[in-house]
Amino acid sequence: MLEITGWTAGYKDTRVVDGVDLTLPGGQMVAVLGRNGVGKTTLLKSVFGLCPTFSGSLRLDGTPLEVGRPEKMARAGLSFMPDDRGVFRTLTVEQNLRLARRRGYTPPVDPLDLFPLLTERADQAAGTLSGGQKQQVGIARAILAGERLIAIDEFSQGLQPSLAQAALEALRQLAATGVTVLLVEQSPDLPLRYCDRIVGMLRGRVVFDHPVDGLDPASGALTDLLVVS
Amino acid sequence: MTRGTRGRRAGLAAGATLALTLTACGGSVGGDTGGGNGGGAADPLSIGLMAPITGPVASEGEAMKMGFDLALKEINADGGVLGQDIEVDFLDDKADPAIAAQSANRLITENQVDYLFGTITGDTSLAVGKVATEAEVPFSTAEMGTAGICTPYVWAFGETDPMILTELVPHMLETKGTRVALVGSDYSFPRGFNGLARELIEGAGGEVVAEEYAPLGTADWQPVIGKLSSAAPDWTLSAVVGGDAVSFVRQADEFGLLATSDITGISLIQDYYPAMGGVTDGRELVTRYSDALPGEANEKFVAAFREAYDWDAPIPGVAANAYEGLKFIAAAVEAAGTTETAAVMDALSTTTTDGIFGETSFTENHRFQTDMQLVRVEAGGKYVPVENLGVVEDPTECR
Amino acid sequence: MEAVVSFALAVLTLFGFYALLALGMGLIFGQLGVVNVAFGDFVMAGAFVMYGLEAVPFVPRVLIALVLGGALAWAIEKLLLRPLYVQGFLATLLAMWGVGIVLRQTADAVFGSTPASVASPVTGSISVLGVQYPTYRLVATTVSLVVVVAILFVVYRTDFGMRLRATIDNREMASLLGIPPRPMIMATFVFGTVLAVLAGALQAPMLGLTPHLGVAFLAPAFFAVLVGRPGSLAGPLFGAFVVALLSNSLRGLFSETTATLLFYAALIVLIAIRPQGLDWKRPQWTTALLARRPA
Repeated sequence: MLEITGWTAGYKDTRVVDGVDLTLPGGQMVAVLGRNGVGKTTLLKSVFGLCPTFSGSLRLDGTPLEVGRPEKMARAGLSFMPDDRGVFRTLTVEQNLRLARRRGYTPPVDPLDLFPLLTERADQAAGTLSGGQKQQVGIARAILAGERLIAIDEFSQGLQPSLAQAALEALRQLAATGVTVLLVEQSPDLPLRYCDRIVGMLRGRVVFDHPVDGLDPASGALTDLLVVS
Repeated sequence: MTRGTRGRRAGLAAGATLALTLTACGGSVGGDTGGGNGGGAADPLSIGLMAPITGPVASEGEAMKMGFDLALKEINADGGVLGQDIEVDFLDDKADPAIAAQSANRLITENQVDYLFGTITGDTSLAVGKVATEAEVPFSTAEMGTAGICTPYVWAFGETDPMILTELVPHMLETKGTRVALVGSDYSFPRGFNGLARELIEGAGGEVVAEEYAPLGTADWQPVIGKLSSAAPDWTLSAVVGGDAVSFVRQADEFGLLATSDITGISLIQDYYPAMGGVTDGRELVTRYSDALPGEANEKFVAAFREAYDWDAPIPGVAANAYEGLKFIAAAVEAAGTTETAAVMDALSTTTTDGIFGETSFTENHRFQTDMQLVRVEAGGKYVPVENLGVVEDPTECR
Repeated sequence: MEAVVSFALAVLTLFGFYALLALGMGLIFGQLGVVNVAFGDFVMAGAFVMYGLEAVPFVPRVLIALVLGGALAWAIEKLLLRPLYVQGFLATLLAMWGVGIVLRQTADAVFGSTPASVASPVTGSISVLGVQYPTYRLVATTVSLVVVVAILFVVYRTDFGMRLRATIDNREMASLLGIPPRPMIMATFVFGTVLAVLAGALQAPMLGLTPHLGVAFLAPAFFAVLVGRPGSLAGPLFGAFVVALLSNSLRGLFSETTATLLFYAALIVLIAIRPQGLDWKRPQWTTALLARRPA
């Protein structure tokens, strides 16, 4: 279980994330929804130490995590695919994946079964892949490195729908083994079908937090999150 | 060495120049002797000394200052000039003509010096020469070559190209052979030096089989040495200077050029000997100064210099020129009986000394004349005079 | 035939030397985004250590030079560069400029500016396909090339090399996969600097040493990095080869001064028509990665 408490982050004097408290239990699959610029990406990036955090604390199963140290998050088994996918362009696909593998951890779902392309293109420089193919590399790496938690920004970006669904099935299987899954999405369609819980953000705050069970897809609260007012 | 323009190197090392500007602030007051002013009737002789003790020609600047300081100490210990200690104000000219001109101005206007002495590179000498002439203050350099400017106020103590080459060229043509390669650092002094050498070589029936120049700061001499080797010279006249001289001569040795042909020239002077690793041993050159010159004055100078500066290496010619130069100026001022410029300049043109070089005097066109020596370099850095060539005239007009 | 062999040897010798420089400079630029204008001065420092410790036998002396150079680089990265990364490459460039000045002034203060030299551990020459070539040059070139090959092996064939390339490629992502950025930055700077020191130590017996010696090496190394594609580590090697070949060809055909002029003109043209060689992508320096939590 990852607990994010009193989280405020941003750039220079701009607070992009403003006082977020979020508890992500193990085995839960959570989607963060919200329009562009509400602070979803900044929340994830700052939690993983890629942009400045003004205040806030992180606890993994009750143990505090050092804020602002991405490599320590990684060592604790928390993985994150940023919205630019962060593929190592000059390395091969295989090397990209090898760097993500954790000693002593084999995910119950093999990302190579999920994305056969990654085996076919194993020796190709990752920089030469198309956007959707890079997305596969990024998600595969996140699965390999995410023993405790997998966070994926812009999950379905560039993925063909069949692959996106297959990936969500796989993430569900991982969640079933206790891994926390956190997805950032633009549209509620896939989260409503696959996730356990939906968190909505607006102007840097969490304004909506509801289990998918019993949630009316047409509810005003949900659509308000996504419609430009 | 040479007073030619090491300005080029300074240009290459633009960073260095900025460095100096940033770090070595202001002028130190190095040579101030402060001795008791005896309260005589006349003003004390006051000299403004400029030497680049930082920057690309710092070694020459330091050597010059050492020779000057030693003479200063001796003269003052001996009662000074006109009954008073010589006063010296020192500024680092950083081998930069702008700084040199500024320093000269400051020395003249603020310190009210009677005489300017120093500078190493040709461009700084020229800059100071102009300031001195305008302010009607006499100015002397001590580095090889001419002062680059010809006015009644400039009195250069260095040996000039014709003094070095006039006897050297026929000697080499006769003893080593007639096929000659010329090489030099690429700026005005080496080109002028080699230009005169070519005239002398061709005039004496020799043949210049190669002539190569490389910019200051050249580290890899292989292509140049390749070209020289393929011209198969009997000997090479090198006007490569500074650290490049060492690189060139050592690499020429490495590639076997020195096994098949001899070498002489500016690259062989004392300043560079310690770094040559003995490869110049047995070669000959013409210089004015060697610390092995006979005579009591030189023996005394050498002993004092080695003692004062804990110096084991061959003593550089520029140090000797500065030492003798200050002694000469002191003698002239003493003879004039005043520090007043016109009288001092009259005295400079008539004064003679018998110092470390032997008899010295200025010619009408302000050439400092004394005996030149054919010197052989021997193991351990002994520059052994093998023949006193006597006074070698420099007939060229002041230029 | 002889001309071809001597030309090839000359190119190879120069390439060995420039390859070390370009690789070191390229690594530092790729990893740190620092244009290391003090690079030539580290070459000078390496050469002067060889001069200053002449009593020590040659090989251990080279090793001492490397250790001293590495320690100096460690201190510079930790104390000087680290606080400056977030301010951009101009700040670090100026800082390295300052380092170069300090190195030159220190050499000037300690060793004076009279040219110095280092005795060669191997003398004489040997015949290579009919051309007499100085033995030490061959030894120095061989050592340089062996080091270059070893570096390529480490970079492209080991796990450490893969992690190194990953941080150069995308430091943030590498840190997200557990590769700590600071030790990698430190290691790269130290290693790159040590290569300059090694080049200086190996070249020392061929040179007249002065505190300003390094200035002559900065430009060729810089151009080698520019001609190759910075970031790709083999790029600077290609660049070093182009620079060595170009330099030797021009200097064989023209006078040194003309050749130097043409050399730089040709490199500028080459870089202009091959702009993909000029990848001035700066590594990402986020405050979060390098500074601790902002105040």
